[in-house]
Amino acid sequence: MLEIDDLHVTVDGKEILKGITLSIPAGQVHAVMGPNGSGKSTLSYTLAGREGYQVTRGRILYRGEDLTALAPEERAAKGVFLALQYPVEIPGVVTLTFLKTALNAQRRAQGLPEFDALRTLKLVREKAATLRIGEDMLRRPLNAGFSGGEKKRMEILQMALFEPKLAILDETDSGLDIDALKLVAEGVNMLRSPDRAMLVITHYQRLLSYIVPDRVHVLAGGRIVKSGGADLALELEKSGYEGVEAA
Amino acid sequence: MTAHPFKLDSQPNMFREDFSRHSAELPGAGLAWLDARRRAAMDAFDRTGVPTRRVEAWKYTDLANALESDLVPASRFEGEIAFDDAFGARGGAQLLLADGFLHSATGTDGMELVDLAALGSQTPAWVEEHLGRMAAGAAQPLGAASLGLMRGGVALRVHGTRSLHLHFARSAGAQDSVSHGRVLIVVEDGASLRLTETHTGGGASESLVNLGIELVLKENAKLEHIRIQSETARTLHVTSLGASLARDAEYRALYAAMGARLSRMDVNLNLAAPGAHATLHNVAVLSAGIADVTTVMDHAAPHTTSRQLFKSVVGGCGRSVNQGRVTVRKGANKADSHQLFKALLLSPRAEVDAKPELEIFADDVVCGHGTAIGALDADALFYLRARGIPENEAKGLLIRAFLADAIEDFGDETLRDALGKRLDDALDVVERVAP
Amino acid sequence: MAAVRETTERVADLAGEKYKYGFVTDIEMVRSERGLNEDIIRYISAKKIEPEWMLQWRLEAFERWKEMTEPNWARVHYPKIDYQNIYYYAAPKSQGDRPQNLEDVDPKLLETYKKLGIPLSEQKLLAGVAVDAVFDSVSVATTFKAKLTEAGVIFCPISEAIRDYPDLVKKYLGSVVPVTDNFFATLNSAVFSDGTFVYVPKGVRCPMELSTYFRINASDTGQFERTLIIADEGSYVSYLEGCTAPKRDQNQLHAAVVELVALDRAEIKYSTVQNWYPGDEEGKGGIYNFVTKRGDCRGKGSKISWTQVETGSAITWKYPSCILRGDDSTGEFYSIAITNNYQQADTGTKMIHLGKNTRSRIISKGIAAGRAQNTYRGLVSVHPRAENARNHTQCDSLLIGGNCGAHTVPYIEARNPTAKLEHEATTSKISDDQLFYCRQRGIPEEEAVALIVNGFCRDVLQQLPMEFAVEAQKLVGISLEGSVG
Repeated sequence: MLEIDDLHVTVDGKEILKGITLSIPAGQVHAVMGPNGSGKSTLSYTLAGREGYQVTRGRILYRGEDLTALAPEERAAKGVFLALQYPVEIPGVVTLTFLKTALNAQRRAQGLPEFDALRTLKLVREKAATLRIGEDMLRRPLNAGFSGGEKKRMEILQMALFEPKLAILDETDSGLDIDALKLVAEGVNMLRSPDRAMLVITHYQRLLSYIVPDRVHVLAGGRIVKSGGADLALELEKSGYEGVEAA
Repeated sequence: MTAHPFKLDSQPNMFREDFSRHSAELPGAGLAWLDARRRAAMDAFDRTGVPTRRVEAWKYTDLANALESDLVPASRFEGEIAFDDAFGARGGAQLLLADGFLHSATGTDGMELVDLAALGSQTPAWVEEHLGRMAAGAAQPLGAASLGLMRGGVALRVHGTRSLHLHFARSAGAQDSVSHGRVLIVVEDGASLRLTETHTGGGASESLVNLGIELVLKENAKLEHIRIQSETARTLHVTSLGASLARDAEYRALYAAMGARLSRMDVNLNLAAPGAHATLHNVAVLSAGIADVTTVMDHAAPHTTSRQLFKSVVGGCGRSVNQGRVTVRKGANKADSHQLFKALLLSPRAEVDAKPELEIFADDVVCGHGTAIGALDADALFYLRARGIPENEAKGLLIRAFLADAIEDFGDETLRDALGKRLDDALDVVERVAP
Repeated sequence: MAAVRETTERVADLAGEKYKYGFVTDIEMVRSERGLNEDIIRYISAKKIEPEWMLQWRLEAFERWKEMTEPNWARVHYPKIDYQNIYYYAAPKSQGDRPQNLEDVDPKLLETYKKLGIPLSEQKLLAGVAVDAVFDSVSVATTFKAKLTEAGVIFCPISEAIRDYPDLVKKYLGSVVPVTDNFFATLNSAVFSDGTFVYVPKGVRCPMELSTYFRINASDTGQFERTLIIADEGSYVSYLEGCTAPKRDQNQLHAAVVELVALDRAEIKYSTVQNWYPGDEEGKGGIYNFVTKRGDCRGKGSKISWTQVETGSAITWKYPSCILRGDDSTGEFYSIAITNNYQQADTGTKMIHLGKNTRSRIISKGIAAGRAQNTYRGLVSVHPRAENARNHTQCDSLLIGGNCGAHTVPYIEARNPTAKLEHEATTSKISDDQLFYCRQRGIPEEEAVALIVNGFCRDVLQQLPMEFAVEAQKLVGISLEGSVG
């Protein structure tokens, strides 16, 4: 599904990712863990195509196609979804309107007929129910005044709605209490499927107790310094990042 | 907003006349650079003359109309005059200026000091470089006149860390007079100055204090400027201040206006290089007359920041005028500016006028302003009274609390105490005249 | 908000069709001579078959105008206007005797309005909206007159009102905007051609939305419409105007005067969707929109609410204001002003608090893109007798690109200690974070900008009558085309 090969990325002229190689087959969940400043968010923004994240070397192959030249919306339409660490507030734009605009923009790009208001509403309600997102939240401007937990649930709702092929979750656990965390993890787990790959980026092991990954990679200083199975996360929890970085 | 090219026809232009008659006798006459700057300044002044309300920037403060008599230029006063040393605990240099002339100076070691009344051929290069470059254009017409007609004043150059108290006093002259004085302060690279500026006095005759101040902050320079202006009801006072801030320079100012028939603080700050920052607080407490603070905050370079907070307490028939324009020039991205005007109106005859203005030519900016005008919060007042505090005392508490955040981060304890006492005196008057 | 969806859909639909109202109707016209003098004014007055008092009113205004100078305090720049090189009157020849019913209206005119999306046949009209259609200097048709008459509402061209309701017109015309109020208002008083007159009698809630659609068609012609709306005690009316003009390389002058009078407990809601031709990408052509609009809350407990969506015109100079004279009266101003390319707008409001317990509210959203300059200028003034006056002002500006300017110039004057005035203003750009977020969810950049800007304008869009909110949202998107990337 996703093949990252020797990826170098600079931001404001400074090299942040210094040669990342990573492969996630369809149906698998990989976790990338690392301390602050290791390049985790840079990796997620680069995959989503944010401006200012300059790929200087290497490539990103997604379903056999090089993504690096594509605009963020083109990647999204091809099934790349990034759940942001800090979901953005868009004042005045009602959540439901936003969801419908995004859904139909993607469908348009995919050559599919657009959904009308009723159809969208039905679909959104269906997905929202499992995440305990009520009608009132859908009627409010997107993320404006949402609590941390509400914002993260809204991200997962969008993931459920757009049914991406590659989902990247950037520190989805940050700022969540245990109940919210469980709810979000449940939502993610429901979306695990044989034709979907996921990349879970996190600082702590905590989230990985609920979303159990197939592989764990440790990112430090812009490189993957260690890879292993799900138990690597537990190991890190005990020994911390220092030991790994030293290695 | 550009000023209308409006010329006074109705009123004889006494400043132009003064210049025509006396320009050859003014200090430094014959110095080509100074003659040229004085002439340019008078030309700039002529574009408005003494401003009336028809000049947009003077819309709320009609100076021409406030001038009642013909004013003669003040001459040097040679007698004894007291220094206001309530703020003395800051130590450092103490300069006394009487009627716009340097009268005495102590503790100026480590500073370069030039008496502007005695400018001659041996004038230091730094004075020539800077004097009359700011607060002398058409945007500050009185500043232009203060340069064109400058009779006295001081220029100072500061290295290292220093503190300076400039006290402006008035001799009790019987004649209606005007003083055109200038102050130039150059704070060198990395130097730091704490400046206290006090204005008191004024007699029973009408007088116009017309002061032009130039502040040059070089790279990394820091200047804390505390100004306290409290003059008699026959005084008209205009200070035109120009400041330019080089890279990473910081200007922090607190201006307090507590009396005069008309006072105008006409400020033009130029944030000329990245990292420059200005904090500007103004406090006005008045029960009569006009206290006007008008600022232009010019973000001329990227990554410049400014914060402005104006607070006024107005009782009696006082009028508080608050104008602040923030300009962000094209390309000055990441400019970050905020200004907040708050006013308490305590009497049916009191008035507050506010004109906060944003003029933005760059897109990557965060700029805002807020204004809130009203009476004391009735809920808070009730709460205090319900706790047994008599109404007047409760009001006093709330008014002082209202002013507190504009003052608290400035100066040292002695200075804040002294300022607090002056404010208390002014507030007492406000409360007495309030209905 | 289904409308936002449609906005974004329409933006995609209309790519490359930036100003779809730019066509010219080829129709035979009757015109005055070029230029302005007493004879021209007599000509206009005669064309309108006006009574003598009206002619005198005009001539007096003209005398005063000759002594006035054009204001120059606004932040707008344009070459000097040659007032002697304008046609002050132009009308389709076929309108010589204004047809009394729609069947007799020149089919070319009907076709024009149909093309503009304003079908004048009552069957096809939006249910519940009566339309007065003004084409250059004359009203060509007014719909639903019968139904309105039944309710006692007068809705007719002002030229007709001058003849048929002289007492009402004499009493109120010029009572809100005095003849010599300002240069453009005085000019209008001398040469105004057509516009709408509305009178809603005591206690009547106008049964439908009233609307005027202004169209400039003829070249080198100024449009000087005059609108007068009177809401008598306890009445209510909602009125909307729309404006378009052909694409031309020359600038054209539009100097209107609108006067509103609300008596005791009356309410007037006045909405504008202004889409005059803005000029091309190089700043060539476009309308000079120099308009004086003022409402007088003359009665106790009256209310006047202005809502404007200003997307067109090369230059907009306009300050719809409220004089809050009646005790307990309320004034509102909701504005969206979008400038792109070389457009300039200097717009805002005045809220003059004279009565006790008067309230005002201002929400202004300014958007500048391209090389445009966008200024909010507003006055809130509380007079000494205006006990307990309240104002809240929110003024937000959005900049798109580094070559435009957004300016905020509020004047706040308080002369009563019981006043409570709050003003807030912000200036920023569309955040990179918002834009990236939308694009990550698959929304293309230009559509994302339209979406975010519509969100930014939401508080104002919500004030528009439903039928027009949709149209306005589309306009927001279209006006900003080409502003990103």
